[in-house]
Amino acid sequence: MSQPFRLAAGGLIDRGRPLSFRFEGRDYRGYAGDTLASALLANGVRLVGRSFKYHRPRGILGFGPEESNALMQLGTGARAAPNLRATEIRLHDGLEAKAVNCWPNVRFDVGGVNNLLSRFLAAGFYYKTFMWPHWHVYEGVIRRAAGLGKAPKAADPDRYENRFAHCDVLVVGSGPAGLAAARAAAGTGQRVILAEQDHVLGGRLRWDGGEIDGLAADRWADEAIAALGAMPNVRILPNTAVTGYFDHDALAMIEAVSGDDPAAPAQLPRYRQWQVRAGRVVLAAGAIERPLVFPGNDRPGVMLASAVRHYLARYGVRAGNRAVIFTNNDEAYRTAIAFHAAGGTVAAVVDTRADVDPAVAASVETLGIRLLRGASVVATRGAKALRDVAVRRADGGTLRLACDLLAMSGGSNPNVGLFSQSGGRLAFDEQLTAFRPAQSVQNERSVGAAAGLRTLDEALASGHAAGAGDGAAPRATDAHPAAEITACWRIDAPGKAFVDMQNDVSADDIGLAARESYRSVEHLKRYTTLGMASDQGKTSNVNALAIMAGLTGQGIAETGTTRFRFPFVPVALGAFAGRAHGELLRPLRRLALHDRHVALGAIMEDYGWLRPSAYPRAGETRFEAEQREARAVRDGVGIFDGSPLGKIEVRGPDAARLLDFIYASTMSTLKVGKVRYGLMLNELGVVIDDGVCARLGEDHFLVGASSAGADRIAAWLEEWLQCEFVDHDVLVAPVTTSWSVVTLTGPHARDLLAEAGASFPLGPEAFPHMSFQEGMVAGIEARVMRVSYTGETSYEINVPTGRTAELWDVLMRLGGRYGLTPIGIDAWNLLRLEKGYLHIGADTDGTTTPLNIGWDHVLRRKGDFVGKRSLMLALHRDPARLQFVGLRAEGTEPLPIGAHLVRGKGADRASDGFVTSSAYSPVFGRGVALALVHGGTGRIGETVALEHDGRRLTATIAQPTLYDPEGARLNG
Amino acid sequence: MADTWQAAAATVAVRECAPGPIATLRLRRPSADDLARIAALIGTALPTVPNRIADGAVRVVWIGPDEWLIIGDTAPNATIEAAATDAAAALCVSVGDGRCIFEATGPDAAELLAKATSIDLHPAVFTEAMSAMTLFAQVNAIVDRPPGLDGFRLIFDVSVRDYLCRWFGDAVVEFG
Repeated sequence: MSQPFRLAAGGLIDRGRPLSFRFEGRDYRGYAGDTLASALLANGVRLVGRSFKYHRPRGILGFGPEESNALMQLGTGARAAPNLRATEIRLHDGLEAKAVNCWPNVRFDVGGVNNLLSRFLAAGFYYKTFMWPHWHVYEGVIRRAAGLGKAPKAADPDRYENRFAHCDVLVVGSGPAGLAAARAAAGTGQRVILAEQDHVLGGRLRWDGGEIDGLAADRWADEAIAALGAMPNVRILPNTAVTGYFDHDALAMIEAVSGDDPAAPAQLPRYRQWQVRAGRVVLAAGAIERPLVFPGNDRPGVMLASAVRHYLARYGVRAGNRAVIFTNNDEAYRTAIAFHAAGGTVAAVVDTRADVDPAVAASVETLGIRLLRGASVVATRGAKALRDVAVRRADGGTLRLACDLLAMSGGSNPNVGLFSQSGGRLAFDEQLTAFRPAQSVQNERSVGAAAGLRTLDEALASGHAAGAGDGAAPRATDAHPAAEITACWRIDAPGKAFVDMQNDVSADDIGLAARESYRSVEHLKRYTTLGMASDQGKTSNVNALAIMAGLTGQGIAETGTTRFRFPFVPVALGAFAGRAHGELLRPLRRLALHDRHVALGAIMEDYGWLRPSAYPRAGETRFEAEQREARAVRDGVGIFDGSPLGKIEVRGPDAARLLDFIYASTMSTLKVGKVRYGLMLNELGVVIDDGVCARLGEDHFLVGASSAGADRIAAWLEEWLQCEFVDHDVLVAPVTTSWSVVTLTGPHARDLLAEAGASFPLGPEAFPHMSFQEGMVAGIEARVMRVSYTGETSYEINVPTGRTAELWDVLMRLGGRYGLTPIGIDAWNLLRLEKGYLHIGADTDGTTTPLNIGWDHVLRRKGDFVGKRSLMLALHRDPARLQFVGLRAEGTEPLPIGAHLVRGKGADRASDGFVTSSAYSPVFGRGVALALVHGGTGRIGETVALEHDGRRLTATIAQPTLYDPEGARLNG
Repeated sequence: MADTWQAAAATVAVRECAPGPIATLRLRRPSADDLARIAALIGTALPTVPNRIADGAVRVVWIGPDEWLIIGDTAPNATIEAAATDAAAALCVSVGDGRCIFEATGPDAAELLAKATSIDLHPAVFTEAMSAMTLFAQVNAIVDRPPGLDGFRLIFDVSVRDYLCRWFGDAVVEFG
């Protein structure tokens, strides 16, 4: 298919590499180097989208991230990507695109009926119509109508990456100012990152003429880029938009790496998000042209004048045959000249200014182009493409001009988004009729058009100065003079004149907002949706607030802008996630015995660590496995992997002193070789961890923390030492993962351990419950503690992690005749529950103190400890406080965890406590539970009613220790 | 203990190294004589400049003002503790069983690490014989640049070894 609007020559495209693509079901051709927008224009496709609210036909407006109309749905299935701007989509062979927001297609769109109803859909329509109590009626309709593209439902198959970077100077934008800054900075050896959102570097140098140091602008750009590319201290990133500017000169960038090209190497990510820490930042982000606000300014064929010039020079595409130029400034005259030079007909230049600089006027009139001074376009016609415009002349008369292109220019806005994000203050510049950077807060400098500078020479000089290099700045040897402008915020004429094309906000909508007192720009934004969605008001914000300023009589500066926010351009969510999904979502810790647990059929679950929950045998349910494993511990011997238990070495003359303060009980009286259970509290008196502490020597302790508390408690001790007890001679070292723990528990635990071989006596007198031995087990260096979480005789055998498997294998081999059974977390919890042992985080929460769990008489009386003062509060000593008790369920069914005891009736109905742990006990043949019950300790034997999810249950309050309350089995 | 694991791409390679013996040494108010005695015992001076490693008979990583990591075969822990006769307290414990070590080498080694850590690894900033404790791909790491190695060495907790093998295996992919 031919490309009727492609020029015979010119543009940064590769005419030797034609590409096929599909838009809205039709096939077209373009060239390598094209964007989807340039290729569509080359093919004469004018209608590229439907507007958000009224479904009005829309054409391409701009050429970069400011594009508000040409929003595309790209790809299909899981790879579908919504709302990409055609101006930023690099063309590739086989590309398939569809306009968003229209059905069945962009040419015939059912939603277009909204346009006929538009007088009922003005600003604030949503707030006035979709109100309670009928929201449910509207919701479905709104959900279908809202939003632009369609998000895919399947998992995203693309790759996304994250990267950190550091540099001395980050240069944002590679136009004349950016290149001058990068060269100056790089020349002094500084580390430079040059980020350019376009796939071609050079910015305006590529399409707006001029001559630098005697070279044509684009030749100069080529040379500057080649020189930078050869320097090892420079990183050039095309296709990279800087999206955020945060504190301490930290910036975020998004790099489109593969360009959605299926032919790109598979290992390349679709997007890479960069987090950059810069020594300083040069903002050379350029400027974006403003549309003029006049009736019918949204018709396909109405474009920004800069965009028309851009497509001519960058892509060899003339966006029409017969153009009208509509402007309030000198710069658009360049578009008339370029369009004429490219063989197009310029029907007229319509200038709102009565006085036009004679030289500027002559620049078009000498070409035979008609210039209408003091004139305005007041209407446009054409169903799906522009056919003609109506011009109101200075004398009040009107004329119609046939044209298929209207190139408009209302002036330019410096790209101040990043500057504003950095905290910098803006000022309104009357000469520029725009906001420009005024006062910096961070170590950044705006240069070139982004600083409001109007000439090439100023851009080069400002860039060079910001780069802080040696030598002279490059000079513009031929350039356009500074473009003069007279503000024109709105053409006074009847008809719908759009300010924000993406959100269908018209000048009249702003008037409505002003009448209804939504006059603050932030209120204006929320009420009309102006400046929202993917373009974030890049072409609309300043026009809108100027119109509002005109309506309220306030100045533009006083009216101000809405807050510029991160991100400057939309970012695919995958880029935020990077590779952190699936099995890399977060690090799961693995046990040294992981493979052995898996080989035994364990269900491995996420406890921060991957741990065995149960080891079901063939045909066994998880519950059956739990019950079997628990019975094996009561009758024979079980083996449990307790490796994640926290282990912290504490050493020094003040070790006992420190631990007396950290624990709520006394550790200084512990004898060497003995082990004691303790609670740790925070300053509020809340229990934060529990565990056993062993005294290895006079000044040497091994502090045990819970598995979940291992890292936290090590940091807790270190914090107290570094911040509060700087006078304590104590040193701490966590050794949690250096030692793994294999626990033998059950009546045959000692027999099995003896058979495995221990270098120390194992009898109950020589090695009683709550004591410690160091030596060899099965030929392996070991630290063994007699502590029990099951109520049975237990040995916690700590061995160096690298030798855990060796120990496990020996015990498993020898254990057969004792019925040695691997025990999962499920059975482990059941066994400790029967015994009434606390599980921190299950039986306790962020309010539980030792006085809730029966520790009234264990707390140390002498001296101070963390949390002690809080425990003196009457609140914690109330006899009706929650107290830790056991519950025996009436039947075999376990009580639901979280079920509440209920007291009182009617309005007095209240919770009397709740179930914290629960299971079916094979020992008792019924449901057993632990609970926190108001005044529970004094209510042993009481039958209580519980409720859960509408169910009513009955249980009896009991002592927490249901199993072997005398501890005969424990001490045996 | 673990099988030696590796992953490679065109411009970067990652391999796991056996951690061997590693000890955490902490000293409270040691004297210069204490430090000299320990240096003689382990054949390497303890670095006192932050974020440095010292290479001698063993390699010593500065962890904090009173803490070092001693990597390599050395005197028994108790002997080292006993050498600190003037110190108010001394603690030397073996932690090698709780660590795993990876080396990333090749022209893109720093780029690979930059996917996971926010510290600046440029050779002018993170010079040879420097080390840092940092967050790396969501886990704690000690990164150092050993002299003579064309890249970096990273020490992690052994419990995240499997996760890191997956992470590195995935991370090298984009380097060809």
